[in-house]
Amino acid sequence: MVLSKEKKALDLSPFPDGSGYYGMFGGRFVPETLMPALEELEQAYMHFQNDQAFQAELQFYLEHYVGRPTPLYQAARLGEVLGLPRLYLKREDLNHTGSHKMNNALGQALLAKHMGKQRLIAETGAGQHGVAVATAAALLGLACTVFMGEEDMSRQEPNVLRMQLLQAEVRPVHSGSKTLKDATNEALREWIAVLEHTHYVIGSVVGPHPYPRMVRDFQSIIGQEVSAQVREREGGIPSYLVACIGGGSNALGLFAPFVQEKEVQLIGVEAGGRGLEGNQHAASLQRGRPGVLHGALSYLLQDQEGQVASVHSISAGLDYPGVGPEHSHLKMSKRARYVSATDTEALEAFHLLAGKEGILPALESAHALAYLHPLAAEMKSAGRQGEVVVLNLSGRGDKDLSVLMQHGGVGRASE
Amino acid sequence: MPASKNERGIMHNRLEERFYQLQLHGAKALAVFLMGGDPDLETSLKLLRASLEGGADILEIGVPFSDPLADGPVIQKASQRARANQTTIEDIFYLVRELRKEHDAPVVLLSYWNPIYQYGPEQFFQQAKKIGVDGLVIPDLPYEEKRPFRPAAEACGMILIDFMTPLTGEERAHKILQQAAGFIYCVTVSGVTGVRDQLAETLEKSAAIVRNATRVPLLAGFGISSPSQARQAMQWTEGVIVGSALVQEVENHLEKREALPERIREQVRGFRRALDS
Repeated sequence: MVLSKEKKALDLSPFPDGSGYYGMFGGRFVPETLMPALEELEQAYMHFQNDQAFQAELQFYLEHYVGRPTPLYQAARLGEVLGLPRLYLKREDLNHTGSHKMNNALGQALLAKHMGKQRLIAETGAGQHGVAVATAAALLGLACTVFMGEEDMSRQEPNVLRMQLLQAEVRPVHSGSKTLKDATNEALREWIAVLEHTHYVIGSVVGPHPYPRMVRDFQSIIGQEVSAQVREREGGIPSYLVACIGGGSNALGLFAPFVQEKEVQLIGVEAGGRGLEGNQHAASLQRGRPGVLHGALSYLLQDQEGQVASVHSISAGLDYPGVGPEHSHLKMSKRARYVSATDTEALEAFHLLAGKEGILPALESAHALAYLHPLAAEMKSAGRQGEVVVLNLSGRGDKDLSVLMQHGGVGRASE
Repeated sequence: MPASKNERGIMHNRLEERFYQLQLHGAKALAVFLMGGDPDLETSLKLLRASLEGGADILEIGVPFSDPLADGPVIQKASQRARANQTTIEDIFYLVRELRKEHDAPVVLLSYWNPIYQYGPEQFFQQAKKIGVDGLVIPDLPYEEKRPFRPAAEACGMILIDFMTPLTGEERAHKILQQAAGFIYCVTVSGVTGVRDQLAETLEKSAAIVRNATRVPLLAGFGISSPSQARQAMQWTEGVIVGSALVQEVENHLEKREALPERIREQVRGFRRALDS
């Protein structure tokens, strides 16, 4: 079953407006040098979005190469422990390359190829987006350079090797905090320098317009499949959708087709790091205030003077001081709510899922899993614990082995 | 400065007056960029003064920012040094206040948008204008995003500088140029700021577009690293902006900062001579 209701789903969201704004958030805060490139990209995107041959080609790869649709798995043993009998996991970890990132990487790579570009550049944090772009580049015969912070290269080493094996150049970023934020700066600088034949594949629903929209659209296949799968299995729509939030692409991919269905609760789980009290977290939506980073106005962790804060999360993919502008709008309009899980809670959730269901989740996804405890308590007190919860299992955990070993490793699981 | 208004409703501004004077004498403008607070606040004040002594017409003072995505490594490092010294917006204002005690040269601040946005754009424009800033160069605030803030800036006589690049198409250029005031920052090469060996030929094309649309002066920036490049660029422009080459000099002499003012003065003098010869 491959779903091709993209058009219908897109119409469900009234945002962004013509200037790339989601309410007060979004926009295009970039150097003038990039403006023509963004306009070219927007036009190409609008064109190919309605181009049947393009859509058919994308659909073909999603089905036969990526392996879509991904299963919606009822996690009965985990659900039993949590007191959530109708808990479903959307298995984005089963995509080719091991995460939801492939949906967007493939969409943008195909778009770039149709635009006549010869080279892809990308930023990456956990390495999942970098691997996905390197893969799409190999598949479509494009050159590829991935920018990655030094700090992330050491904590996600297997993904560095994967990208190199896929014949991508991995360029270490030494500036700033040496993580995703700085990799994004460096990728943007590279794009400014070599615009003409290069497409910059942004990996999340962040950046200047049209990126937040384009990435959301490519990821919304997640929510579209969930919608059909829940209807088939449960005869209705889910009550709760849960996903982790770094930039917010897997969450928006799940939420987007349900934004207009007001009875569906949308819950985004940010990285609580070592707790929200200090500054050792990455909870932009809960502890930030509106500001401009990487071309968009959105919630941002920053100091009084508007300098971007250094943040912390055990998960490289969530270790980002900003967040996609549409999430800021969903928060401001109270359509979605945003909560957090700490490093420790995420680790515990990792081991719980591994032990109960035989699935090693990415540490990013483990944050979403960790929030199932408080959610179950809340649902119970509201007498709703029998309702359908869908959690987006955005990626698999193989890449996190070294981090897990540093944090108690195998011994911990048997505690 | 007199607070009278010209026909466009913009208050008289040191930038406009300076360009008027330069034009009268058939001279080219030399704008100098230095990062505020680099290598330290007091030395950076000395370097700004030295630049004026060396013959700079316009000072462009950088406000340090954590994520300067339009800047190459040289200015990124300067920004980091200034931030390591805890340089604040108040410190940048201090530099302008001190300069204003002795100098009437136009001063513009180069700041990314977020520090201004957090300060409150209107308050920032007013406060900066009050202490003697004439214009703002905001590299991540293109025409469209600048539009909502123009009225507040114009109300207090603060000029928001616009950019032109080799990739700006003619249609877009006309839209930008209709609004432009002070000077137009002409990016000579695609890419971020930095020292380069080759000046792109596209400058000639950009200049032609600008000349057809506006009388606002054009300054070439990004990649003017030597006096000979400055001479080349001035054929098509009203002057040049020199930044990374000077900031590199600061980086090269961090251990001997007492000698820096003299070095910067001499280097600026070299550019001045090239423009005057």
